[in-house]
Amino acid sequence: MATLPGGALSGGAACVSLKGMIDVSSISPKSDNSNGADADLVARLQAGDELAFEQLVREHGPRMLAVARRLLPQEQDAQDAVQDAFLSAFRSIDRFQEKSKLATWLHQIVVNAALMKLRRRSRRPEKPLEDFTPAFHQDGRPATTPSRWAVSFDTAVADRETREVVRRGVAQLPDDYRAVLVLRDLEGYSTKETAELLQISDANVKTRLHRARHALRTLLDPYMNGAAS
Amino acid sequence: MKCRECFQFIIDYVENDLTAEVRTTFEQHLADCQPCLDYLESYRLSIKIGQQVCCNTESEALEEMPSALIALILAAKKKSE
Repeated sequence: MATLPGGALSGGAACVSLKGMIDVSSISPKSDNSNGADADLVARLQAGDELAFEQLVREHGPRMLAVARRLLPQEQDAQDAVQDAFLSAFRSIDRFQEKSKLATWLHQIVVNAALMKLRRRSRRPEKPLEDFTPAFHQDGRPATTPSRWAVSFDTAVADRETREVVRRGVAQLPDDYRAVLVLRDLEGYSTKETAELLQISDANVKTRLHRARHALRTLLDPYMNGAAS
Repeated sequence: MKCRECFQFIIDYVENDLTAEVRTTFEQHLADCQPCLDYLESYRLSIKIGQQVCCNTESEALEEMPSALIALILAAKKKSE
């Protein structure tokens, strides 16, 4: 059982045991009304139906792999995390509560597995994010004046090069910053849940998130101003 | 409020975590400072773009799992039993 500073987890946040096991006992997904289709599959899984497990992997695997890839840019790491997550889910399926949605439960398990992988892997030398922090003059004015972006949201997301810049930019963020950005902005966890998952303070989550968002904005700037081609 | 402080408060403004007093001061600065207003808009837009580009759940659901990974998971499950 994981013990995190601050006591029990709240909301949908799960945790990674300090011993390195994925702890799914504390995962209590937010309940919703779309669990009807899960009931049959869960019943078969709990009865030990082999085909049900394969169905689970085929149906939920793609989304879980996408989540793992966002947290772990190395494909092998992402696939390993998905494998670990499915094995954890299989071991814990008897504890699955029907009020929960299977996809939400699996999502939290794969997030846990990916974060554990992130902690275990040897850390690469990271580029300091100060490079992306805006410079200011002594009097508090910005050294470079930001300008209004010329490119619209719709144009940006439709542009292949811009999409690639975003994906590459997120992947290239230092691990600590990428994890916060992915959990908070992409996976929908609250600041408190993100802090619990990463075992850092709420204030630290905000600091990293602010810098990561700013880094992403800086990378997008030339494309959104039409300066890049 | 200076632009430097405005930058520091942006995340709390976007997250609606500023006190009423600081929020008012922040918004007064924005009203008088077009560069900070432009920066705030681009900050918000980059979050939205990131979400749209990195998190397209419809395409994720349709994407296939590598068959080798499926085989590995099924084999690992068998081995773990």
